[in-house]
Amino acid sequence: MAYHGVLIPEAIVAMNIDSLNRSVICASALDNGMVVALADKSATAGENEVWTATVPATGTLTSLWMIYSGDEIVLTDSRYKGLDPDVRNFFTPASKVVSVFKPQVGDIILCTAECFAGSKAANTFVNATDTTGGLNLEWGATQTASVLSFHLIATKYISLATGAIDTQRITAYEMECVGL
Amino acid sequence: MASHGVLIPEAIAAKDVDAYNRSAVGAMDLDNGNVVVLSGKSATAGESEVFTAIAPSTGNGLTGLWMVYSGDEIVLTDARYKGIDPDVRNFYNVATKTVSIYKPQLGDIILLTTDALSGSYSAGVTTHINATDGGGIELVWGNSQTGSVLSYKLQAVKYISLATGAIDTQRVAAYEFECVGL
Repeated sequence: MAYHGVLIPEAIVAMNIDSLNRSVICASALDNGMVVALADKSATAGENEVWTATVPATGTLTSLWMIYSGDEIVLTDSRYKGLDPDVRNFFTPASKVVSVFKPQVGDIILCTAECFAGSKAANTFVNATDTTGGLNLEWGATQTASVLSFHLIATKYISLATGAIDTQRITAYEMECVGL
Repeated sequence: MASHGVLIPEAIAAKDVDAYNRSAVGAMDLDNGNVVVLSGKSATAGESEVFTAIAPSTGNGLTGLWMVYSGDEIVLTDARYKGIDPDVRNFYNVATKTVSIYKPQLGDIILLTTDALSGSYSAGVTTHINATDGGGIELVWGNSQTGSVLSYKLQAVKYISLATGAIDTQRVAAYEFECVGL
């Protein structure tokens, strides 16, 4: 099974500002660290405080929201939180309500490679794109103007709780939001 | 010894938003109320959460600046110890020492003494302080707001109190500003 993106919001404005946090529902499965555009509110009964999330495309590459489900989600791909120790197996299934936050310039996040489209190579930015990116921000050599964009500030790691020798760390990228 | 800038953050968004606060280290001495550009993260061992601060300029940037504000956490200042020297104007942040900074937001209200600024205040004439190419780490008095740079508008001329105990020297002028440009 392919791994999913892991996001650690190290210093984000949304941690302190309630209005930068919402609940959404999307027709696609969502990893933490993916980005979505919010269209309208859900028309489904019982979801009057839930927005409908769509895949970013030309015309909707700004004012995006980032997926970040914390502890409130238990069921993930038929695995239960607390039983599967590998956080990379976590994602939010399609058509399930998920939490999102609105990135602000200066926000610092830590993401694994699965959060992004393309390859890291020598690239130092990830940008919202209409091409191969879609739900994922895509690696690029420069900042794309007038779209959601993050700049790489350090290559770090996240720890895994597998218990296996020599496999307890995987690379993660510390990114700072530089464009909305 | 020259006096250093005194900053009182009267109402700033950074007091409630953790992400607007960082630690930085610069090659120059920094007064509270000085402004810096963050050029990246420090490469020094033990400073993995510290950013490198440089002086604002046209090349380094005059927008997206951060303001220096060390509170109680710094003890040693120019060989003076907090609590022993009663004059807050003797406090500054020594070069290459880690210092706290925050990101100003529109509407922030701060109180600054003149030592943190470049140029001079002229009643009824100077109405703003702006980041400028020649100002370095100090905001510069101006007669108007400079567009597209960090800028504050003067709201009131007030004072700060000193704890010197001396007669007639217990107040110095301070200027209340509101952030009007980032």
